[in-house]
Amino acid sequence: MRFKLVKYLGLLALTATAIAMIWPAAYADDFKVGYLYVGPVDDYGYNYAQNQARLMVQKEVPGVTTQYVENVPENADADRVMERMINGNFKMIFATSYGYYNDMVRLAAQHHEVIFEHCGGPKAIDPNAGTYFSDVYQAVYLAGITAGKMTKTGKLGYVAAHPIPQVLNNINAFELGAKSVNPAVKTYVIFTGEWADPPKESAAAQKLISIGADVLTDHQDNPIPVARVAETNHIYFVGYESDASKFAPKGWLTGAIFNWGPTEVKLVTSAMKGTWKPEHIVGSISDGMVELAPFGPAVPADVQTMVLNEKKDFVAGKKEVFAGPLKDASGKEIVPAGQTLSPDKIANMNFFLDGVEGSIQ
Amino acid sequence: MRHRLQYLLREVGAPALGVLVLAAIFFLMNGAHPGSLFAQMFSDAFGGAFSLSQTLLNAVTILLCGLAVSLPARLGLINVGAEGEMIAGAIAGTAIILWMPSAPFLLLMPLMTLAAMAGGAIWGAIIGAGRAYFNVNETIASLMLNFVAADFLEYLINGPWEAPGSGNWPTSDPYPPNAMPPVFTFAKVQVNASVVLALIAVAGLFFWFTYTRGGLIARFLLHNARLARFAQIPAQRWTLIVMGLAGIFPALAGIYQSTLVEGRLQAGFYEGYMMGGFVAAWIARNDFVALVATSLLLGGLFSAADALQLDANLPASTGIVIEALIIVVVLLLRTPKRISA
Amino acid sequence: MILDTVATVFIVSTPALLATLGETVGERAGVINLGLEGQMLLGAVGSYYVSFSTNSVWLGFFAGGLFGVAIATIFALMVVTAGRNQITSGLAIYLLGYGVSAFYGRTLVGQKAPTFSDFQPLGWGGFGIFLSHFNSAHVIALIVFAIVLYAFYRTRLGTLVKAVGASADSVFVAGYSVRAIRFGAVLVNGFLSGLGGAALALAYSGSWSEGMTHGIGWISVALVVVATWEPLYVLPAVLLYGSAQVLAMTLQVSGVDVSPYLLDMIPYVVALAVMAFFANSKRDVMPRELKNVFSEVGF
Repeated sequence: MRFKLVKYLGLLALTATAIAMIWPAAYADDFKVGYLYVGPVDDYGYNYAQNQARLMVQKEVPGVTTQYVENVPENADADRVMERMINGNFKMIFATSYGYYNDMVRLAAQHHEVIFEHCGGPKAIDPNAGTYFSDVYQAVYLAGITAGKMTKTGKLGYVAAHPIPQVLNNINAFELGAKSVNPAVKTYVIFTGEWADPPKESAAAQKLISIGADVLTDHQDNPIPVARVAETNHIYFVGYESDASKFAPKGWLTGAIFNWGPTEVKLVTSAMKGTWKPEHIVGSISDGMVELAPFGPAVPADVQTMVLNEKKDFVAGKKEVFAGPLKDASGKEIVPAGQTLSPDKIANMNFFLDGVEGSIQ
Repeated sequence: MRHRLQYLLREVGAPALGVLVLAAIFFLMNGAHPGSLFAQMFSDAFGGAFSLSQTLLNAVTILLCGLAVSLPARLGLINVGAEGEMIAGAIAGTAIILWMPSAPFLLLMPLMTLAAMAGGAIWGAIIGAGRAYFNVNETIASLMLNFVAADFLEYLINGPWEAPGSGNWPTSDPYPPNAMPPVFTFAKVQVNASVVLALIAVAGLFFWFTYTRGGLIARFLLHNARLARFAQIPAQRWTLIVMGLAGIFPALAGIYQSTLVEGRLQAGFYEGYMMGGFVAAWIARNDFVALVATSLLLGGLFSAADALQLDANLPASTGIVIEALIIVVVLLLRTPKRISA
Repeated sequence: MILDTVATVFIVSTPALLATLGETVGERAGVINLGLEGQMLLGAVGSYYVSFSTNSVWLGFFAGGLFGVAIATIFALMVVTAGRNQITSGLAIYLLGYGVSAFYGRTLVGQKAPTFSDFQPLGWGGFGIFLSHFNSAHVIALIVFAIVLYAFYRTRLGTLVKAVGASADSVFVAGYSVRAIRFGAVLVNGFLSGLGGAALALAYSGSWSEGMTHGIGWISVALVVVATWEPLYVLPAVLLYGSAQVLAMTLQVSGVDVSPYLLDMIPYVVALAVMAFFANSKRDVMPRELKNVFSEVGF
């Protein structure tokens, strides 16, 4: 009986296999560009913004084929995926998460025929690895002003992933922006230790509400959990990375959003022409690599005007976020009055400024 | 002969076909061509030196984790602690490297390997001692200890071992070149030292269980604990030794994965291998030699899953679905082995 | 402030509460299901899908439970009907639940489905604010908890479940179908852990993402041990887990340098301690039939 069943199954499998035994068509002779994303491309956050840039490259650069792999963890898996791409004759690879940097550096040294671009890495490496990021903290500062104007309790909550320099830039900029309009305001920070861990993000948001925060913001890959907790608790939310206002229609204030597309189009085009050079590109709000998201309905017109005026100062290059006098959380002077924090110190930031509550370790 | 063929058909043929059919249905349901996908997966796993190197790298880790399941199972113990043992090995080995990073290769590499083995053995022996002397269920205990180990690893790389200058990114310092285990290249296929060690382990275990008193004792303990007690076999000590030994193999995998693949100690390097090892051991019915074959099969599946995303736009979870189908089909189609005293 | 913290602990614990309760019922009937994480994931993705496509959060919530039942049925067919190894089958269910939810959940990532909203703040001062942290799912979880407790301790069915876990032979001799009772207990486990996943997706995170349970299912297996296999003690056991999570965050916000990862270990270490303690005490709390699961080597 069992044996008969086996035979039937076998026949079924063989026919199924036989019917469809076709090798996939070979790729055309396009310039192949591979992308690695740490999360899903539809997360309405970091990876969503990254994927928008890829779609722009695919649309605007003729002769390019882009392919992506999502949900690539920041460990040996990234290494494997990049090796697959190199082996599959990809000419250019965008490693778009901070934790891919070490793997990229190692592979770049072994494969000079491939151009690597890393988003967020500290420095470019000759001859074939470039890095790009933007001073997104300028827009976060502006969002901080909005938050500082809107808070009633004077407590802001920040759910963040890892205490790496870029995240600390944003947290400190947020506090500085809020403090510029509301001197008593404090920002409370919880690190989740993961770019995406929805239960932990929600728990952190709940915790921040329980200590009285009435504006929440996040630096996670996926803003939805924090946005939802804020919305259901009838408090405000400041977004990050992309416009997620539909997840907090009432509480949405504004947010800093990325616009990587034009930069990546330039990079890919120059790579195809052979004019590409390993550079450490830092974009800003004045060149449009960072934007301020549209305001939500809760933000009064006068606050909007005020924030947009400040934005003009940044665009014109007349204003610095990390301008003295600045003290760190322990009261030590970081920058004296009249000076600004050097770009190098910003890129290696490892402290909280005065007014930020939390623990970096 | 005919009997043998029938046995093979039932044991290997039926489950294999079952998996193929279910996977084909799964692909068809999602609008993919099963045939071309199978061919694609096969070539991503075994076609060419690059794919073979990747598959071998996966397979040896799965094999070592599988041994940690198969060996205790010979005594009727269920060990699901391979993940914790991998981590324990990686931590112990890294401790040596961080302690004397500039030691010469001939000292550092062997010492690191030995330390990792010791770390895994201690981790396994804790589980074994719990079972033998405190009557603590080894399955649940080994499962819990996986999470304890993972949390401890996170603590180390976020705290005491965090590399200065890594900008708070949670990893240890990169390993020095002197700590890198040798990698051999045969016809462009890369084979690292752990493959050799794993094959030695398989041969040793096979010999031990087939030709020495050890195998007999194990069978005794498995099938008739009362008689074993009567024959004055120290069951408790055997439990301790076997669990400790079993911990060595994933520990080796842990330190070799960390050094050769990651280049530094960081989180998540162990993910998926415990489950892979368990599935491989289960399909192989804890036969050490058959385990080599099933590990290769699963290692190939892991590589193919990586490539499916690039080549067929299917998510990496496709590989997990197929892994699940394999084990469900094998569980249901294969007759469970009855234990006879 | 203290009330707010209590609320946070309870909210954090709710998904684990439902899953642990389900697993406890199953294990008391002598069936251990290590696939809890997979069941929760399928419940989460199922609930989010149904809530999204029907625009009804309630339909979605209960659909989550039904998705849990669906995958638990596969498990029950494997271990109860076909008598296959429980440990292996459980791991298979984990892989299946994880893989299938991740595969089919891709289209739900970043989609906005209706989710539970918290209660409007009423008067009643601090207590009103306390209540406003919760939503209907939390109330349902407590009601379900009470129903399961009642059924388990006060009804004939509950007694049968306990009896099957203590000695299947005597239940058989008494003229009941051991298989039917175990099948039912496994399905109850599936329903409750599916609801736990639904609570996670619809009342907690308000979104779906791959592997979103992040180990809650595994920790629930540990919490069953912490609760010494008593449904009544599931609540304190789960609150212990929730407190450890919230404590880690409280310390962080107040600038205390204690590694959250060491605090994350607490539930597992307590589970190990509880096992070691009771395994040697006169009153062994592990269901006897469950022990047989581990001594049966069906390889």
